[in-house]
Amino acid sequence: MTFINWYILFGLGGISIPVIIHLFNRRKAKVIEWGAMKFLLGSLISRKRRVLIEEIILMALRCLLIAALVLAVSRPFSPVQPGISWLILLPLVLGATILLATTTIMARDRRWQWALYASVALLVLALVTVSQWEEVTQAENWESSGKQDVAIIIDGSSSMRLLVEGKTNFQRAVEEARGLIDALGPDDAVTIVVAGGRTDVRTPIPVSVRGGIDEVFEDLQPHGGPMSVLDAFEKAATSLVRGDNPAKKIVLITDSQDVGWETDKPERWEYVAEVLADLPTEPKVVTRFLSLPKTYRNVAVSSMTMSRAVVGTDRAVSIDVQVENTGRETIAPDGVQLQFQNGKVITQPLDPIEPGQSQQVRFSHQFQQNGTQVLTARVNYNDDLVDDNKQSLVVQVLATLPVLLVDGSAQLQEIDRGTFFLEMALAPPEEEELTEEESPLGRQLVTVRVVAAPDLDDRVHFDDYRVVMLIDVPRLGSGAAKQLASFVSQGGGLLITPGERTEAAFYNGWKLPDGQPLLPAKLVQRVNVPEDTDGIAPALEQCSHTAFARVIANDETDLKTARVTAYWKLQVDPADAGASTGALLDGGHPLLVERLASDGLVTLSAISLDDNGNNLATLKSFLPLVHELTYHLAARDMVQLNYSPAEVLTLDFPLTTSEPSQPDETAKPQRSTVQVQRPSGDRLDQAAVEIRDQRMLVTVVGAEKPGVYALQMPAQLGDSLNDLVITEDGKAAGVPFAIELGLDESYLEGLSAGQEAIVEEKFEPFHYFRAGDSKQMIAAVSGNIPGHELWKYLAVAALIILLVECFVTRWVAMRRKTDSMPTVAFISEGEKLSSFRDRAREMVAQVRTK
Amino acid sequence: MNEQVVDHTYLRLLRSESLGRISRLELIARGVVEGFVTGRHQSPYKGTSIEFAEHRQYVPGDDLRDLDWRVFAKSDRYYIKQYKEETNLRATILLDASGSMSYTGDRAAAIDDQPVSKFDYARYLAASLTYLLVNQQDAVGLVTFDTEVRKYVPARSSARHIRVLLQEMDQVEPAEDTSLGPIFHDIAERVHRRGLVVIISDLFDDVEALTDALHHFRYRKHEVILLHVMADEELTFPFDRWSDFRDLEVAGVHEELDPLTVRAEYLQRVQEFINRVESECGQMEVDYVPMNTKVPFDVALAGFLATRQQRSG
Repeated sequence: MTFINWYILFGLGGISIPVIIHLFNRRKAKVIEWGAMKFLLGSLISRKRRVLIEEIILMALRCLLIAALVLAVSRPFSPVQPGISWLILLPLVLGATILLATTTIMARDRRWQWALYASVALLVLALVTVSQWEEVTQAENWESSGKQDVAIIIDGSSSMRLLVEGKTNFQRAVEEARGLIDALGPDDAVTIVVAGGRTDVRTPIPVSVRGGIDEVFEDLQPHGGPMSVLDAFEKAATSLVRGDNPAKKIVLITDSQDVGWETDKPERWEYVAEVLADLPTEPKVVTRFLSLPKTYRNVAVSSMTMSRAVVGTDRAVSIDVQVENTGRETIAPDGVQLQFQNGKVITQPLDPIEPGQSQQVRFSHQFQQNGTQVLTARVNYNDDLVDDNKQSLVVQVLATLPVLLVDGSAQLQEIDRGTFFLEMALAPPEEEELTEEESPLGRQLVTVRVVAAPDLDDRVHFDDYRVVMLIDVPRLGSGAAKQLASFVSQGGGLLITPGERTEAAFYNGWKLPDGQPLLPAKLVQRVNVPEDTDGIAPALEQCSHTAFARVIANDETDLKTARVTAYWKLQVDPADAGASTGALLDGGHPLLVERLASDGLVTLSAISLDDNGNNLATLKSFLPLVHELTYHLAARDMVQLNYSPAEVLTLDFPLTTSEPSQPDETAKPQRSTVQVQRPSGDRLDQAAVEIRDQRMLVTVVGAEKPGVYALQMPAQLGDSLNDLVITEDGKAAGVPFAIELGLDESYLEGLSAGQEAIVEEKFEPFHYFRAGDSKQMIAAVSGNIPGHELWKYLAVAALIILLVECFVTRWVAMRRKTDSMPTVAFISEGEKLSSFRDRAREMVAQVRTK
Repeated sequence: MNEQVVDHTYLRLLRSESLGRISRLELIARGVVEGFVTGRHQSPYKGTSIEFAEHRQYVPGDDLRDLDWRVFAKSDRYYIKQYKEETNLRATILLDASGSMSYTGDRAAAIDDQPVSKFDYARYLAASLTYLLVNQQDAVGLVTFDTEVRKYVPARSSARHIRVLLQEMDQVEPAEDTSLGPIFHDIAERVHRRGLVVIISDLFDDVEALTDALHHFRYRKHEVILLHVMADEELTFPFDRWSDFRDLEVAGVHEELDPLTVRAEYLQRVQEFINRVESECGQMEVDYVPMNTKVPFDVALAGFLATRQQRSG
């Protein structure tokens, strides 16, 4: 602790004023020769102890009053890292004052009194000495060595948009940063870093305080997304290296949210520590944590999912929107609204949600138009953090889903073909032409072409189809087999339903281009169930496959009456990580096994999808089952347009060509750039594009902020991605993709004590200082001693002591009855009759007149 | 006593102004008294005397010596001759000369522009009463005391006796502690004939001892008048700055204090003391007369006498 007006401490000698007055009064005591000593001594004996205590209390209060006033005027200052705490020093002074007051009242010996005066003098001297020593020590610790480069990192994460007392924390951070810059010297230079989902170094080279820095603040906005503290420090250090000033300082102004500190990654911290240590001079690190409110209202759209990945205009699709209360209070939003690309809005109600709880709302919608569409769910509630109240999803509505059915028994009559029931189920012939408005279902999504297996020669290619189904095909020619394997590896869906003619050896030896087996399980043998039994039922409760699950989810399903009388025994290699069993027959035989093959999907069924060996085709559930199976197979080939936040994001688009796909290993990749429109507005960034192997890879940097981005596709790519481009107001607005909302920023949890300890430990080599307020931050950076003055507390203490002194004085007076003048009745019985006294006076008067 | 060597300074005690006033008043004994000023105070006791009172008819049992034979000879009826008995009052004044009586408060009534001490006040009272009583042919005695009897002058009614008493009053100076009980018992034993006992004191002693002693006087059928002399300062304790109170009775005893700290307690104790003394006196039919030295002693005495006159009247 130091004293700004240290010389006023000598005024502590004033403590002796009430002492001297007391001693002077004693010394000047008037001598009274007294007769009624008996009563006086009697009174004194009974009151002596109480009087003594009262005197001590009053003297102590008066001395304390002077001490508090003198200390307040001397402006005690408590540095944040004190050599000697005010919690020790001030109580010591006040305690000594009380001791002095007590001794004054108690001590009768003059030597004691002199000892008291000496003690007061020593106390004052000791205080002044300690204060000055502290002043020197603190100045050495905090002084700024000349010109400095200061990097100010402003947290620009989503949580900084939180409204606290009518202002966002980001606004506060900017104001404090401006205040800090104002306090810097004219030769100092500043780097501004805004750290949100991406770290934005606004001034790559430190800019002089004298000019230019104000412009940086003009359009400063939080980027949203989570901040990466270490990334921000690394980039700040990189900027500071380029500064010319010898001293380096890094200031972080954040809201103390626990997101983005990576305290569980010591290797990252070590790396950043090395970067900081590599600066020309050892930097000083200062953090300033803005307070998070103890209670706040916040609701977030935590997820948005479609019931199926493949969406057409043929039937309605469900969209589930999850709303989560990430605040500290129960909230009752007005509902959730879902907005479609065409401007249509559907609103669903919501019940009140408890803190930490979530509620799901299901929307059902049938798209009327194919193409890419952006769906935005928004919760209707005015809370403290608006960023997370909406979430977007990019949906690709397909015009058609072409399916190729390869029939192994094409020579038979139509009704006997293995593909008959499938064809009828997937693309039923329309009995009469209906307009789109009249049809309960929209335009058919699935289009089917049936070919006989022998017709597939070596020149065949499958690029026109999303799904190929091999129905009881004995074997394929090597060219067709190779093409089909290639089709699968590039994202196509392949369903194999072996039948009586199927040659197991061919299938078991079929390889993908990368050499892996194509089938997810080996065909062992075809098994016929004895005729005297009803057949084997599928083990519905063990069916995890999406298609089965969707059908079973319908309460009216008749899938449970399915019976299998003939099936292929499949052998799944437990070591084959790529294969997974999606459905079983009773008894544990695999019914449906899948393999994720590169980008595509291979599904192997143990039973045929006709009336041969099972009764599936006769069930009502057959139609939805084969549709779901088809959608599932086609889903892998869909272009991914929804992503989690990522600092570097690579989007992968297939490029369609009119020529059969012939991967050219030797062809050089083409490189160019596209512009990216960010959700925050019209700021356009460049993204790198690489075209190779019939694919376009777009690398977007800094896709952390949730929302919808748009890629402005270059013209030279032709019509390849036309299906994905959306139009706004009749103009192409690019290919959209959405970054989903993470809930990290929605839960405003502060750094735990353990995390803070880690931060402190990691920054400790860099003279780490955590500023308690803006003043401390400014002091720590500008070379002053950060801390806070205590005079206000002492002034309040003095006022309280004064009031207490008045009260005690009054109380003592009341106890001693000095304010009232009690009188002793000393009058005879006769005199009480006033007439006698009057008569006596009359008589005396008469005598005197004679 | 040789009149030539008598110190006449005692005469200042008999201030003519005061005596002039007092002589106009008559000290009227309350209740039963044995004797009073001749011709002015009629005794309720009828006895043999020189002054005829009245005749009354003889009733059996009357002493035949009292028969008025002359009346019998004239009227042939038996009449008894009755005479007024003339008896003189024997008054003893007990004057407290303890150290505490020397206290002189600033508020005390001034005589010759000097505030009087309690003792001066007391001896003015004593002197005035002496003069008054002797002038009425009553016998007056004097006892001065502190912790013991300093001087005992038996009661006499001669005019010359006044000088003796006044000289004694003048010579005594207050000193020593107060011890009322044993002294009063002693005096009660010495004064055989019942009479008037006038005590002039501040009574700064144990109340029980004082009460016992007063009982002794009353047992001896003495009429007791207690003139309680206190200074106004002792009754109001008006001090407000640090003071060193030094005991007037016991040397070396002193207390340095802030008077305000004990004032309430002190006054309460004084009040309790006065109440108790007054109460005890009331029960014993002792005439308790508080005397504040701030009231001029002649006014106080006149008031006292007026009160007694009223009661007897």
